[in-house]
Amino acid sequence: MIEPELHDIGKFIDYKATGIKHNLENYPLQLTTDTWKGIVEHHCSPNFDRYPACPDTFKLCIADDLASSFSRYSVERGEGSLTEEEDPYDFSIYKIWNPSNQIMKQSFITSFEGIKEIYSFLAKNPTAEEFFVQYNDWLKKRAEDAKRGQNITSLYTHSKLTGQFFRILTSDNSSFSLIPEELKGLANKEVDNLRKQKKNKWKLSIVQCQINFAQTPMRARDMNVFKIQESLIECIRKELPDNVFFSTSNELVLIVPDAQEVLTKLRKKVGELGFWLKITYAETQLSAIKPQLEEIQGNKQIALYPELPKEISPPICELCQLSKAKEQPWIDEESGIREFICERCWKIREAGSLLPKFVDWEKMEQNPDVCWVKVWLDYRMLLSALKKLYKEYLEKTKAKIPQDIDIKFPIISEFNQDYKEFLSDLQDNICRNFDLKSIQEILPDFVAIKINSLSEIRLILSIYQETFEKYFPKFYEVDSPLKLSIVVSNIKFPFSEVWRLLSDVTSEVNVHTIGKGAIHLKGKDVRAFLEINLPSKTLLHKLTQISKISSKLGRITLYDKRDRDFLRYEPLRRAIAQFGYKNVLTYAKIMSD
Amino acid sequence: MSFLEYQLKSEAICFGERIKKGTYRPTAMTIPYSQITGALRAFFGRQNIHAAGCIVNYAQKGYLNFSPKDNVTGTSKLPVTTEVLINMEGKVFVVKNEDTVDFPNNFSLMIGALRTRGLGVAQLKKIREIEMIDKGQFLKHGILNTRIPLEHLDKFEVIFDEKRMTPVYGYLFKPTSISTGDYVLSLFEGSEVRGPEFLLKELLS
Repeated sequence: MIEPELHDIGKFIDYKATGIKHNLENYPLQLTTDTWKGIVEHHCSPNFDRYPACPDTFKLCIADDLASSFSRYSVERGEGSLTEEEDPYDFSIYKIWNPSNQIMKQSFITSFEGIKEIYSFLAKNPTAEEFFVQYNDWLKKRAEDAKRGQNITSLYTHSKLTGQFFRILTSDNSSFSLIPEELKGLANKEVDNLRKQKKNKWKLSIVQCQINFAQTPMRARDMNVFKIQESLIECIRKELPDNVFFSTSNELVLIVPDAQEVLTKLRKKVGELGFWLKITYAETQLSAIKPQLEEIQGNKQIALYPELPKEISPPICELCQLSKAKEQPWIDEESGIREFICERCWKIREAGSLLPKFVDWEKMEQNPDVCWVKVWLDYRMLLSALKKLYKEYLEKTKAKIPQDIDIKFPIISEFNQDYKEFLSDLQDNICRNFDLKSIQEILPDFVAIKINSLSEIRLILSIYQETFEKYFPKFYEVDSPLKLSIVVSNIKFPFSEVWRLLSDVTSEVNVHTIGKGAIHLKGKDVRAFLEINLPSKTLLHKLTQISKISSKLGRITLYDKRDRDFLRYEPLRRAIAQFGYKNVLTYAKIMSD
Repeated sequence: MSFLEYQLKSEAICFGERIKKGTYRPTAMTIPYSQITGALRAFFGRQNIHAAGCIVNYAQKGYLNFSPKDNVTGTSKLPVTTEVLINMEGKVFVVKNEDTVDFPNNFSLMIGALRTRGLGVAQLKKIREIEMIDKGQFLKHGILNTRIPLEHLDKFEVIFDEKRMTPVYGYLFKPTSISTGDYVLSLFEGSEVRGPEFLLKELLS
């Protein structure tokens, strides 16, 4: 059986230094394994003598094409192109959201000794997992295509995606039918024509699925809904490992041969959990698949709900308000409060303490303040930001810019890996700076921190800004698809309101402190904002107390030349000119705590 | 088809949703069909009234703690925190028919939760009459800004195609007598529909 992920293993070999082509067709020793066959036959182009001769290598050739980050022949050099000397190949990846300055002029293997090692490895007929373990570093460092302008995804992502596409194409022989006779006796050019023909004939569906819950979490145990949402995503990823091409904590993008089959599966899961899904899907030829679903003709938007009766006689579930509540109320042991909730919400509450620290915090005598930190990723904005950044990169390389730059699946998949690393790094950094007992991870992009003082928000903002700059510095130059929401509230404050404020992502960085005000900033302004030279705590306290009476009075005080502290307020006045009065006043209130 | 547009102003109002956890009553951030229609029917004593509305702005959100008293035992129950919109301004659209044609230009009514505690005093002022002349131009594709039961969508000329549009479903209370009622399936704010522009918060395509 072919291990499709290994098809580009030959790209570790530097062609200029060794003369060995990446499909290894001109290496003196040849193996007879299926994987080797896949490697030598995965191209049909005049640059190679060997080409697909059986259905599996033919489908591998198409999978390779689908998993490449650009339309293979679309990026050409324009007028005034750089010469080959000035414009060398760059084997390192240029991440358009986080470009590195390093240039790799050669691939990793420049001698026959190295090639022998690759050959020996392949002779063991390794699995894809073994391949990723053995060559993880190289795969992540080496660009899939070394031409500048095209080196925007790693060989790692490309290999993974080729494997996924290959298994999709080989798992359904009726949708992607190809009999060996169709390839019999065909020359290289004819196979290439057949490849184009099949790419226009075979179809795939792209399904974008956003998971929403109707529940209004009120008790700590109701927050289990987030964990159940996370497990639903995990469950879909496990059931359809080859079909998920992008995922966040509440969103998935899948590629499937038949959308209806997946929708049926999702409908069943939705019915069990009581979530509702917003789904956009579109079917198109292989040659036209792209992550921008709204650009595909005939795309459809639907919502999947659990079964909803036309009428419900009371009592209705108090949490989700979408089902009839059980006749037997849920009774709180401590207060005796009776709540009418439905079977599904009851199950969520009964699932135990999936988020145990909330239960402890709720029991604390002095109800503590909690800082809720949520990172949002907007899929549409992501595509548009990547498109802008890619265009900028092409301009830099003096490539002829195609009218419609396509952001393809490998780029968003590459981004997805960095995004997950970013979230994990962000949580690690938070854990390093706060007591572990004070941190409750809810989702990879959602964390709650028990704080002692509002001024700790400054530290959280600083951690976010540093981590963001490490991973996505280029997003400062475009409308960032990443948004940060911070809400500080008392643990007893209703979570429904916290969630509403967390969902308010009017700016790139949003901070709401209940009863104190809000801060809305552009991501690139955060550093300067945190460096505002604040006057003493006494002065901040004075300003806070005045603005409690009236925020306008607070403003007047700042600009009142007769005020004895007029000069000492100068840094605040400068900050107001840059960031606005409301932002600065809220910050002053936070820092005076 | 015609609609009467009213401006609704209230100093403190709560379009109460169901009490959560026995202690917290949030407010809807729109004016649902069930609440405004119920209030108008009670005020005018007529049945063929259909209205829906939306919130235009409010000064701030406040919280009112109130402990209901058990009249039988004379003891107070656990206090309920109610979300209150302070200095709220909204718009109400009433379907014009034989029961609504003579609605006064200005009137006050009580609407929403905790009316016995002074919340929900609202002044309504007629702004204009909206007449649908050309249906094609009148109806727009967009995001609904109110809550309307499915069974009453046609009264507002709201078209919802289940196969092509994305709904946000919920249930609204429909009284069947003075003390009983059922919850009926409804479209909530955020649903994709085709309808009069004044009921939409955002236009699509």
